[in-house]
Amino acid sequence: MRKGLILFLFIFSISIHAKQKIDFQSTDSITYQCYLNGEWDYLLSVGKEALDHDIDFKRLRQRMGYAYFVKQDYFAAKSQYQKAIEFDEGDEETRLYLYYCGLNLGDDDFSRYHAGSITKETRKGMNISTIKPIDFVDFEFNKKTNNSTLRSNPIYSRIGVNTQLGYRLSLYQSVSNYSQSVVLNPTSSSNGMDIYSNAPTTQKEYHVALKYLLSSHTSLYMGYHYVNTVVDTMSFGGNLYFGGFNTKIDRFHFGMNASWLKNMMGSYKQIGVSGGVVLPVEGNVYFHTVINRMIASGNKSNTIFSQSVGANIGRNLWAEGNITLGNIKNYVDNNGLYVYNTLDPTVFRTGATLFWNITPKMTLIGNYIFDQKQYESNTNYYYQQSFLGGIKWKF
Amino acid sequence: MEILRKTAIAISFAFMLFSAQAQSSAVVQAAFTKSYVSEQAGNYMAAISDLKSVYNVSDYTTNIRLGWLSYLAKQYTESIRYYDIAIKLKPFAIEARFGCVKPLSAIESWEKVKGHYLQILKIDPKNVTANYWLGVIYYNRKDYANAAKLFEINVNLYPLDYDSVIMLAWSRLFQGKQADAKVLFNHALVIRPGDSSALSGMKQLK
Repeated sequence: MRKGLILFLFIFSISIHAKQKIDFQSTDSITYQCYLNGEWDYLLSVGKEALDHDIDFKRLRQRMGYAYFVKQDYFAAKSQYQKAIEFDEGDEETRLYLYYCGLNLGDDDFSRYHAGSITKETRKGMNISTIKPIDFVDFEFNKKTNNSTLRSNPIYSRIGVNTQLGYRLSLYQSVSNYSQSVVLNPTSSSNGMDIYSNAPTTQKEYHVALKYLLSSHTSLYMGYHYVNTVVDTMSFGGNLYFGGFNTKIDRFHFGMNASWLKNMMGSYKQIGVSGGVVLPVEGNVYFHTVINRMIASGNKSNTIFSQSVGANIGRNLWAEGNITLGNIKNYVDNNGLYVYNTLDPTVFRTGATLFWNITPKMTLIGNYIFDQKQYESNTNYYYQQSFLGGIKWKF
Repeated sequence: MEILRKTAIAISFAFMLFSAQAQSSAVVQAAFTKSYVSEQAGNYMAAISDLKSVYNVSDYTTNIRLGWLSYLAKQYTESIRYYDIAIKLKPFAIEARFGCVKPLSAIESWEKVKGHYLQILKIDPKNVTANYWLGVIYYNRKDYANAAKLFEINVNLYPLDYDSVIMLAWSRLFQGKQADAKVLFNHALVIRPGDSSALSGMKQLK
């Protein structure tokens, strides 16, 4: 009781003092006491006021970072610890919390990068190894339904595995299968009845991508994606080569990508830019825009615009809505992972995705997409709905 | 006659200018004197205020002194600001950088401290203080190879400098260079017989 009263009087007196004058000493004392006593809100308010008065030092950033971390605002915690690391790159504690922030935000690259700067002894204690043959496995199953009588409901499934080849280098491999029956070239018989040729279509794919982290915020990637399409009895393959980079600066992110798909139907070059921002509001609302320019053989080109908006809508639960405009045919998305080369182009797409981090090691993904598709042989449209369930399991 | 008149005017102007300058120097000197007295009395804020009355942003000495007094008054951001101005005014003066290192160390801005020591070593490659403290930064980061390089320069220049000898000995030990470390720990024990750090190092040798 007496101890509590003394503590209260101490905080009270220094808070009065702080109101009169904000300087290094008072900021250091108050934030340290708040840190010891778990007064996170007060620590943050004093810290913000000190920063407004141009008082900034490593311990302050670390304490503010820890306060946000305890309050489970990992994005804000990460931002504070990043300021702390600017003061002292060799600070083990800062590196450790940057590692944990990355883990909690699902930003594995960021975590791995900082894990690489932690001492060997600490890494050993935390069971972090330099090479990890199976870093994570992800699986997705996708069922689509449409209102076309000429197209069956497609099914898509994919499994991927990520290997850590070091703290900065990783290799992701994935295999997938797509199947759909397509009615081709209806012809009229002698009695005037239409004859339909039902062609079962399957596509097996293999994707491999190498990613290198230039820094905790900038990554380069390059890879290869093979597609083997079988229409009825006819088989033809396609090769996709892709590369790009992504970078984050504070709340902004920016990226560029380029790819070249070559198959029996032609050659398709794609170049694109992406950018986005995470707003400093509750829920960390973010916007992400992607613009791609595609150039097909014969210099036919078109632009594809995609816009996503997402937010943290609950504890460990993220929701994202998106819209895509443009002719999505032979379009390469998600750093070369998806190749949209179905017979019928998609001309409009909208959808929503839910990410639920059940545990730091497991994420469930649910996705819905509405596609407006155009028949490849005429200008008529049909609609397709897609339901996807996925899981990502980290080891 | 006209020439004489012009000469007289020129001389008067020169005298006035000299006199104004002398007066201004006297004011500055008085302000510095007051600030020394205030500093001696531990009244750093008063010392700062004494100097601010004659503050001239392009004067190196006033900026250095304000940097130092602000550091003593624990106004680290202000202190760094004054030292930064001084560094810009005299980029080859290492004293401003050594001064700036103090407030930067107080806020644990080790990246900037490291940057200043590296700059000092560019200007004065054998500077013992910069070599030693930069070596300590590397040593604390477990970068023993770079630490040893710097301590070695000091030991070659001052073989009896205990601080550099003992730091080099520990760096060598953590580098796995046991034979070198043994020689250095023994040397440290000659400089400071019974030194606890050297004895502890000797115990760790296999």
